[in-house]
Amino acid sequence: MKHSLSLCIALILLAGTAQARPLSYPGGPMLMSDNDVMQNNVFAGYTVDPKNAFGYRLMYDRDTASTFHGAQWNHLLNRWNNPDSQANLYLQSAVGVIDRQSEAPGQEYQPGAMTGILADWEDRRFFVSYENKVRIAEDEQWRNFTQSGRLGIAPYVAEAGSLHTWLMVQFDHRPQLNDTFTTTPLVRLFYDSYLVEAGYNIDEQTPLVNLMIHF
Amino acid sequence: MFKQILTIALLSTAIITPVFAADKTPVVKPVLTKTIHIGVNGMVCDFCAQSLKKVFGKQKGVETVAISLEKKLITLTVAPDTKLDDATITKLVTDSGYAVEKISRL
Repeated sequence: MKHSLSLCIALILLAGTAQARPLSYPGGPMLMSDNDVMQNNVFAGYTVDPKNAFGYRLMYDRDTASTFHGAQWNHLLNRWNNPDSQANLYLQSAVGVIDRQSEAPGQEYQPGAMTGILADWEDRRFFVSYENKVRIAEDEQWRNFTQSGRLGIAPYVAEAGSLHTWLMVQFDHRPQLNDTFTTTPLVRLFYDSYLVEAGYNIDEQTPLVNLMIHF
Repeated sequence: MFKQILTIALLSTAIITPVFAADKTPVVKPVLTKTIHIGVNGMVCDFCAQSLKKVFGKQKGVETVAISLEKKLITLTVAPDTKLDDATITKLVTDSGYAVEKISRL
């Protein structure tokens, strides 16, 4: 019942990547959903070992009105475990098919891929991350490069099992947008195996909603 | 005759009472669980805590898993006959993506 509810919430939100832990524990399934001005993303994955997770990515791109279906690999390149902090470097890559609904019948499908790195550092009070992504395809409109960074602070330090709250600011660099650089203040709430983020892009005046569940 | 009966009765009571008294001696029950403390580096968020809780919760003989982010500590209570040696604990923590600082047992 708990898992069904989680799945329903995720599908309703139909979202992307929340700049947080794209790997779970070995044998652990996860669901991630990111939604912002550019895209709706869903990633359903399974962590096979301490460094690798595989799964299915569904991405709807608003700019090109296209849908990407692909197999994604999240790989932990390195992790630094310190007594009071942790830092991670991930590689996230996906290959699949782009469905361009605006194209003529017979020409709507073409192969596509994306890859990028995610780096983060956090302790129980502060959070910093950087993520980039390159999209590769024959379609020039679909190809792009994006990058973003985040700064976060926890207004209180929470113990395991209680509600964790983070106040964050996300900075995006998306060369294809009118506002190349945008800023999104957001709130991250963490409880048990659930992470929810809600924010508002003040330049594009659009909401951001992210969800992550580690089952 | 009555005095003799009373005397025998009292003596009998005096002899038997310690036997019953011995039966009432509190029985010391054997310890049913033992505790393992695991100090962990890198355990800074609730995802970390929940992952480790699930990993150790699946182990045979582990009865409770308590995690303190403040103390960077996992506390397990396990059945006394549980085979959960330091190497196994270290592997479970490492495979979950964290580092063992120390392991102590009570």
